Amino acid sequence: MNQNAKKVMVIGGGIAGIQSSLDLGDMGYKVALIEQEPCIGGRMAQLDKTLPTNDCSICILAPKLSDCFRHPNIKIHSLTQVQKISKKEQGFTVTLLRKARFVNEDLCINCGLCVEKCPSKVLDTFEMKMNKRKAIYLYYLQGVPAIMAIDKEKCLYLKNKNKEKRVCGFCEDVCQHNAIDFTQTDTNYTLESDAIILAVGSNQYDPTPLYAYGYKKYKNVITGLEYERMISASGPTEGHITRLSDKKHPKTIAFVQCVGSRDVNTNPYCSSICCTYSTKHAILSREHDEEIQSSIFYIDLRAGGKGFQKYIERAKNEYGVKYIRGKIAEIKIDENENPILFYEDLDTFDVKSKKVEFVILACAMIPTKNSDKLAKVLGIELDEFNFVKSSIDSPVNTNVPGIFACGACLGPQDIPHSVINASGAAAKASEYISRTKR
Amino acid sequence: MPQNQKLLKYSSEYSDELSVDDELKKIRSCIQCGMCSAVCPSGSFTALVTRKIMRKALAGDHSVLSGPEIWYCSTCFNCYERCPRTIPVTNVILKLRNMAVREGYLPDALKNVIKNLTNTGHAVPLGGPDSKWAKLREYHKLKKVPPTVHSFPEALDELFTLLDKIKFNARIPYR
Amino acid sequence: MDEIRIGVFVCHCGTNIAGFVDIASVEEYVKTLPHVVFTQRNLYTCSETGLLAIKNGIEENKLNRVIVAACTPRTHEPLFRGICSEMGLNPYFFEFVNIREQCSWVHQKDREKATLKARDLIRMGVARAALLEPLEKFQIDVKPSTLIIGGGISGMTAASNLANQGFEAIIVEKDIELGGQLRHHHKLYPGNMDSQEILSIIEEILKNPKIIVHTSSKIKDIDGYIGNFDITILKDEEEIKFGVGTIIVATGTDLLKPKGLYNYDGKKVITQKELELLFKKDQFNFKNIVMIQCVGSRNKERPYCSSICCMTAMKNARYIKEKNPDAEIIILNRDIYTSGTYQETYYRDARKMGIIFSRYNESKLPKVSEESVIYFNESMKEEIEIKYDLVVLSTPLISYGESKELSKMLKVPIDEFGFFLEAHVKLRPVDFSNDGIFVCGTCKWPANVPESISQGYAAASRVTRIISKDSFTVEGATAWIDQDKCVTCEICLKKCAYKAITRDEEERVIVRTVLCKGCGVCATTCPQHAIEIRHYTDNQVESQITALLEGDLVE
Repeated sequence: MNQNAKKVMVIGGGIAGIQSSLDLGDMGYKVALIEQEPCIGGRMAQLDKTLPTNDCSICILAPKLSDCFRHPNIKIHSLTQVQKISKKEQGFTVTLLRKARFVNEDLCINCGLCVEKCPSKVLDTFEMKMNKRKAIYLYYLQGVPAIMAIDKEKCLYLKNKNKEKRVCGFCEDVCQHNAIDFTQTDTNYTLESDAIILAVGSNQYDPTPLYAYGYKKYKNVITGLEYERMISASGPTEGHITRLSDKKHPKTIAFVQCVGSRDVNTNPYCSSICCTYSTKHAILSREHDEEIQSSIFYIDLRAGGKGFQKYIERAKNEYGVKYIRGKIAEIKIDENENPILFYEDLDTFDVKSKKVEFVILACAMIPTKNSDKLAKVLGIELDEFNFVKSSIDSPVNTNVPGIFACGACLGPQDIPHSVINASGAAAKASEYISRTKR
Repeated sequence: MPQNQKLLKYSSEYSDELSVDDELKKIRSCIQCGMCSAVCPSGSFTALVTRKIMRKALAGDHSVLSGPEIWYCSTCFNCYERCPRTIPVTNVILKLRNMAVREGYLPDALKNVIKNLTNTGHAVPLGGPDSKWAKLREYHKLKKVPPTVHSFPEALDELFTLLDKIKFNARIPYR
Repeated sequence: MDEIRIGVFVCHCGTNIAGFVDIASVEEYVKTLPHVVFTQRNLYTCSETGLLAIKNGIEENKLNRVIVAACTPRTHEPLFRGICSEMGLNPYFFEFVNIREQCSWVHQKDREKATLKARDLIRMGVARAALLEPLEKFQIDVKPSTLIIGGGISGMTAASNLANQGFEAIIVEKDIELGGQLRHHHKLYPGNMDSQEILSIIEEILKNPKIIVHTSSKIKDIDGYIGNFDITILKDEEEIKFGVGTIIVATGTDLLKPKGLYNYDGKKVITQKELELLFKKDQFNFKNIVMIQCVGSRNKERPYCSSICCMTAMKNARYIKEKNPDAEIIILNRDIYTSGTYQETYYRDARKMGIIFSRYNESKLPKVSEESVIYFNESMKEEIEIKYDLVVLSTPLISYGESKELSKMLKVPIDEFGFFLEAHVKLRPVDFSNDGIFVCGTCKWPANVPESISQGYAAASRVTRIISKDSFTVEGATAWIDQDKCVTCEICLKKCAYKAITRDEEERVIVRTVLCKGCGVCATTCPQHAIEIRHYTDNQVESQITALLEGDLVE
């Protein structure tokens, strides 16, 4: 098979995009893996553990990141976005925009000296803004490529570039490898591709508009992804479960299901993964601190995946997790900022309130912010919720021949589903190329 | 046969009547999540469990009409606003009240209101020229007795004509 | 022999290890061990930064043995071995010491002892590393063809994809025709697509010159290894033999027949599958229908959710309601499972159509009598009786009995429910741990049609990775028989689970290295101690034990 010359572009470097790239790379295709962040890894890199096995997420992802980076057929284009696409007779021409990194990729060895010297602090988006990083930074500890990047908006040197006197630039002074390059600019370039795989993933629903839950108003009400970072050893609290109001370690935690899902006022669909990820959180909480009592408030308990039902049984029996049927209506706080939850206990008809020390909102998976823009650029159809539209007989095809999709951009799904779809999209891309280029 | 056994009449005339209106019909999409009960301000003081009412209405359970619960609703519309299925919960309750009255169910307290209405033309009458309301009106430089049926008792007849027209008397005897 | 120069990299793994083990003191200790010429601590040794540190370590200190004390070889050994290879070091000069799963995670309460144990474990690793020998991996030829066991939608999808890429696929189907469970389906949710429409793939498959289809056929024997499997099938009593490079298991599932449950009789109390058969034959004529969910699932016997039954019940209920709006349908359920984008809307619309959903509790199961169903309504806490003319039971997908036999032939695992067990639930969902064998569709776990199709594609992708190349590299750590000691008793031959031991032309007992997984069963059973596992030799293991006994924890 002479597939060596054939090229596939994978847009999105989360677990789905990584899996597609690795499969295609192994098949002999030249893969361009496009990632808008400074490092690949996506959502899975932010997770602490994965269910139902409680494997450390970054630990099983890291080898894949390295495989991608070191694969002779895969080239990672980080800090890069798709600008334009045009269909050729065979394949596509894609115009990309690479944001300036201001760090020479070939010279930086990720020693971290620059980070120590940098005086400018920025809210860390990888840490769900629960922490600060420097203006020059590695996106996350295990990030690949392991190269620094400079945040243009926050870098004192770059902000004051036009002034007569040079401001800051400590990183440049301290770097022993001359890797800092303030002359870099955003650049447009084009790539040819025989097929495209879309793997742009998903976002977490921002529960701020649900005023009754008091997110952002109450410090001790946080989202699932924030909690994920909090319980992660490499996260902002180094794995310590800590109330944001007083840094105390909570002993009672409530998990609120269906936040921004199964609700026509927000998102009508079921976000699929929350019942089980909250179960994971509850189990991990108890593993962090034996005294923690967790309650999960739900409408229907949805655990259809492999081993999920048993996982829930384990949570109940071995970790003392309480499952309470009833949608949380409102959250208030007492004078110590302890959240109080109001709900009807559907098993007793009683309208009750429960005081806890910490609340985690199981927020829905939603399409990424720019998915509609990207869809327009690619000419692909989205469904009513802005997820990529697919059909039941071709679950990884889009409406455009030659463009395939996988992962959470197709709708809420867990890691195994994303990996399956990712391999599936790789197979379809390869089939498409074989057929059109025979 | 076990005790406390009921026959489910899930498409009885009651729930059928609720299905006529497209908005009210949304009650069918109720997933019994309990949001309406939990946000109900009245529910925290009374026996009103909104979800139970929805469930009974949906199942065509007659007891929802004969019981007092539907009358505890203060029509604040909190439930409607928060329902994840946008079911007009309050409107369903209002509809159920209509149906209850038609069936002849009305709590005693409300019967007194009807009595007041038929006697005075007011659900909440102000009382005579010596009542505290009259004095208050006077203090604010208003007529002691307002220019309503209170001032024109003969207008009561017009009220009865109206009530007769809508067959109110047939359901709630008022005289 | 060159001087042995060992470098030891001790990983913090964030706080996974460093949180419970005093890494600094461990490193200090390791410096004192024989042959150790270089040590370093890394926050994450597996990160690109960590890997660079290993590379520099090897180069600057002329290391000829590398030890990483971190997590598990299961996920990370290939990575570190790869780094050694890159630096020109034989990958078998790499030694992995697990101080996470086997130390920090299990001794979270006792930092002092965990630290001592970490020292012991690394000392054992150092002792072994000194004795490691270089081994070579070798290449085997790969036949660019695939056996697909099962001609349901998942298997057919894989076959079609492979054939369209130019590879040969051979489908072996036990039934008389292709199509699997889909043949019995009526319509498919959410769009009520006719299942026949999807089955049009059959025609395409039969026409494709790259696909060979054997129906009414059974797998009789599977021998060989990745790249070169020898398959024997039984087709109408006739034996057919052929060779393939890879295998995809797509045997599908059965639907539980609810014998003895809820007065199931196949007439007035039927299954969803039987209901769809009535639709297909246009013999459906009932007005009062009660459907019961989770029949025989999510219970003690089968504590899993079959995940497709709620949608199936709704699909059929909606179909009835569309045909006859006066039909009265109640679906008795425990938790409605409608995960995903369109599913919840589908559910909402089903309710809007007037289909009643009512909840029961596992502890009070509904009772089906001659004319009515009595159940305890969980939402209202009261017992309710419903008259019916038809009860439809939603039963779960269950594994075929034959899976067990097949799993033995393939040497792949199945779980407690008889579903095939993949290599890694998260990241290798369609691979088996055995090279060259893959799995897709419902034989792995209940899945709906689009999921089964996706898995078919995924398995095809995993296969293509292998058969698009001419050769495959296999592991070098295998068994080796000392012919001078061997008395040809054949105990090892019988014990080997991988059929890796055989007799050669000279009647000697030999190891077929490509098949050998290096598991060591043969070596332990050999009465003559004639078998040695390369990379796990007796003297390497003994050196570790000796090193362990020198430790402080030994009393």
